[in-house]
Amino acid sequence: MLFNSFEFLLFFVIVTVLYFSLAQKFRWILLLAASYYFYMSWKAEYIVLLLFTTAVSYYMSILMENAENLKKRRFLLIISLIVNLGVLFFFKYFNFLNDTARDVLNTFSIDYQYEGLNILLPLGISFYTFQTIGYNLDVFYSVRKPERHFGIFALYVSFFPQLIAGPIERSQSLIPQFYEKHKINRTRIYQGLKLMLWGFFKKLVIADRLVPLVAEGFDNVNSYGGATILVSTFLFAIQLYADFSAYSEIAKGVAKILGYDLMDNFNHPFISKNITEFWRRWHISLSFWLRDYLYTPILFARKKWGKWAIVYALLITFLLVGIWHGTKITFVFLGLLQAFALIYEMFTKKWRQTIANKMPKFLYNGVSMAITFLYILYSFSFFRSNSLEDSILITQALFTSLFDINDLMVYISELDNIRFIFTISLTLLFLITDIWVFRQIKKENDTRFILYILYPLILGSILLFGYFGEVEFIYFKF
Amino acid sequence: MKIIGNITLFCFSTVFLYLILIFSLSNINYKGRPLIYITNNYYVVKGGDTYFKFAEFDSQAEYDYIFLGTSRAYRGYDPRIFANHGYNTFNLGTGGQSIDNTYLIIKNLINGNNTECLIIDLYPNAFYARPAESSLDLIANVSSHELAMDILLNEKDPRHVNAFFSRLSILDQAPFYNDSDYVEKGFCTSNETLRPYWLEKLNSGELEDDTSTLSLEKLEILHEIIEYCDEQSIRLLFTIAPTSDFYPDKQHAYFLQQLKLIENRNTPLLDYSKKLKLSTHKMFYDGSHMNYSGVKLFNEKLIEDLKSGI
Repeated sequence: MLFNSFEFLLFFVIVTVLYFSLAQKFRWILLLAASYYFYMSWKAEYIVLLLFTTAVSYYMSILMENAENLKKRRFLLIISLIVNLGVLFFFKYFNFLNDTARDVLNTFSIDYQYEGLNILLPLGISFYTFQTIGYNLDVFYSVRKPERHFGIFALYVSFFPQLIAGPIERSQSLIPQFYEKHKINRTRIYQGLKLMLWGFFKKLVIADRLVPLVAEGFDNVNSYGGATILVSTFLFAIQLYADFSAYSEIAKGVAKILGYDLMDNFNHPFISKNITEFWRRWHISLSFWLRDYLYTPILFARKKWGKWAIVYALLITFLLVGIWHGTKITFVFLGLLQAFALIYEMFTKKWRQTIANKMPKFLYNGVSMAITFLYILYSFSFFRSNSLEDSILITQALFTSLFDINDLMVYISELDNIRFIFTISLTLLFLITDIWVFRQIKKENDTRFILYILYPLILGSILLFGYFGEVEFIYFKF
Repeated sequence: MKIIGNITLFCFSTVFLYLILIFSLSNINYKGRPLIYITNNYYVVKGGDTYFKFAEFDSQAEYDYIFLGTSRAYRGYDPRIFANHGYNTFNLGTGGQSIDNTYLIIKNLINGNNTECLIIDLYPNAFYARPAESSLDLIANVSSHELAMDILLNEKDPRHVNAFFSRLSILDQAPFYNDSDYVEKGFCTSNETLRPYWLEKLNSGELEDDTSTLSLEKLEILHEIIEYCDEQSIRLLFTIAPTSDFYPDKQHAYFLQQLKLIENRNTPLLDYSKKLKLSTHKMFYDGSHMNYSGVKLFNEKLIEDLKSGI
C-alpha cells in the first residue's frame, strides 16, 4: 500500500479514529495489527521475515542482559547480527552471487546451471534490519535495557509510518513514546497534516514528474552530450531528494497525528558547504546510524593508527554503504566518492579554513556550496546510471562536451518543449521555496496568507499537477 | 467553532484556487491547444473520433444495431456496410473502452426505444483494472455531462476530476483536432496493410505475450449489462472480432475461460477470433486492428450470421 494511494488514506483515517477511540492499554495492539496489515498489503508471506527478525532481536537482547559474562554477551550479539544480516544478505545478494559463481565456473568449463531463486526483495528489509541491529548493539553496549514487552518491541520494529523507508528510529527515542498516553491534539494534527501535504506535493508534483525527464537522459547516454547529462543529473538529484524526503515527511506527519515524534531525516542538503555537512543533512537517520554502529566501532578498533584510522573507517563505511544500495558496481563508486571527499576534507580542513578567512564569507560559502553541489550531482550519476559503462560515458561527456547546447535542445524537444519548461519551472520554484515553506510548516500558528492561500495552492497543485500513476518511492528498492 | 470556520475557509480557498487554475490553464492556448494539455501529460485533448461520434449520435433515433467496445470495435464495425443491407447502425466504440465505461454508456444513451440490438465487442484489455485512458477520453469528449459525471464518479482518481472541470471550462471551444481516420457514425478505418514496425516483429517471431490478469470485478459487469438489456428488452450479442497472429492462443483460451461466468445467461458469444483466418499481413495494419479489407470481410460474415438467426 503506497502512501500516495486512496487505500492508504482510507486505512490511515480508520486507524486514527480507532486509535483515539481505544483505551491507552489497547492502542499498541491496534498499531501493531495496523502495521502488520500495512506490510502484508504488499506481500503477505513476507510478514514471516519481519516476525522472525523481531523475535530473534527480542530474545537475543533478553539473553544478553542475562548473560554471565562479556564473552557470552558478545556471542549472543554475533548470533543476532549473523541472523539478521544473513536474511538481508540472502535476499539482496544471493542471486547476484549465484550469477557470478555461474559465470566464473562456466568460464573454467565447470558445469553450473542453477539459475537462482525467483525472490523479491522484501519491502523495508534494510530499514527494519538496521533498526533491530541498532537496538541489539545498544543493549550490548548497555546504552539501554532490553524491552521486555514483546508487543511493544514488535511495534517498534514494524511501526507502519516508518517501516518501509525510515527514518531509522532509535529505540531510546521511539519505544518510550509507545508507553505515553496520547490525546487528540489539534496542534499535532494540524502540523502532521501540513507535513503530509508538503510530502505529497514533493512526491506527486515534483519527484514523479521528473521521472521521464531523468529517464530520457540516463537511458540514452550514448546519444547525449555533457550539457544534457548535467541537466539530467541535476534533475535526478532533485527527484531523489524530493522522493526520499517526501516519504520521510509523510511518515513524520502520519506519526505526529497519532502522537508520535519521528526524527527529521533531511535538512535541505543542497545548501551544504562541504560533504561532511551534506551527510549531516541527507538521510540523517542513516548517517547517524552508520556513524554510531559502523564508523565509530571501526575507528575505535584502529585508534592506534591515528588519522589513518579515520581514513580506514570512512573507506570501509562508505564501501559498505555502496554495496548496501545494490549489486551494481556503480553503487560502490557512489560510496567511494563520498569517502574520498570526506577524507579530502579531513586532510584539508586547516587549509580550507585559511582560505575562508581570506575571502568574503558570502563568496566562500557560495563557491563551497556550488562545488559541493556539483560533486554530489556527479556522485548521484553513479546512483542512477544503468551500468559502469554508462557511468564512464557520463564522465567523458561531462568533461568533454559540457557546452554542447544543440544537444540539449534535442533532449528538450524529445520531451516536448513547453512541458519541459513547465516542469523545470515548477522544480526551480520548489527548490527556491522549499526552505521557506518548510519553515512555515513547522510553525504552530500560521498567518492567513499561509493558511488560506499557500496551503490551498499546494493542495490544488497536487490535485491538478500530481502524477497519480502510482510510482513507488525510490528507496523501496533498498 | 473557530476550527470549523478555518477548515471551511481552507476548503473554500482550495476549491476556488483550484478552479481558477483549471479555468486559466484550459483557456490560455499555446500553439492551438490549451495549456492544460501541455502541463499535464495525462490529458486527452478535446477532439478526435470520440468527440465527433458522440456529437453525431442521436439518442432519439432508432437503431437496429449499436456497436460498443474498444478500438477494435470502432475500427471493426462499419455502419455503411450494415446500411447496404438495410440496417441503421451506430458505432460507439472508443479507445481502450473498459467494460464499466461500456456499461455507463449503455445506461446513459441506450434504451429499448432507440436500440433493437446491442453488439459488444469483447477483448481482454476491456477488463483490466485501471482504465485511465478510456475514462479520460470519454470525460473529455462525450456530449452528455451526465455521462461524463457518471464516468468520473466511477473512478477514484483526481485526474478524472481535473478532466471533468477542464471539460466544463472549454465547453465553448471547438474540438482541437480531427481524426483523419474517422469516416462516419463512429467508425474509423485505415487502408494500410501491416505497418513496418509490426511487420518486423512478425518476421522476427516476436509475438506479444500478455499475461495480465483480468479483473473479476469488471467481468461481473457483464451480468449487469445483460440485466439492463433484459429490462429494456434490447437484444444483446457479445462478439470477438478477428484477431491477428499477434494475439496468442494461450491468452485467448484464458479469456474464454474467464467469460464462462456468463455461460448460463443465454447471451450469444460470437467468436470470430480465428474463424475467418484473416491474413495478418494483408488484413491488419497493426497487432490488434483490421484494415478496411479485413473489416469488409468480417462485417459481411457477421451480417450473414445475424441474418441466419443468431
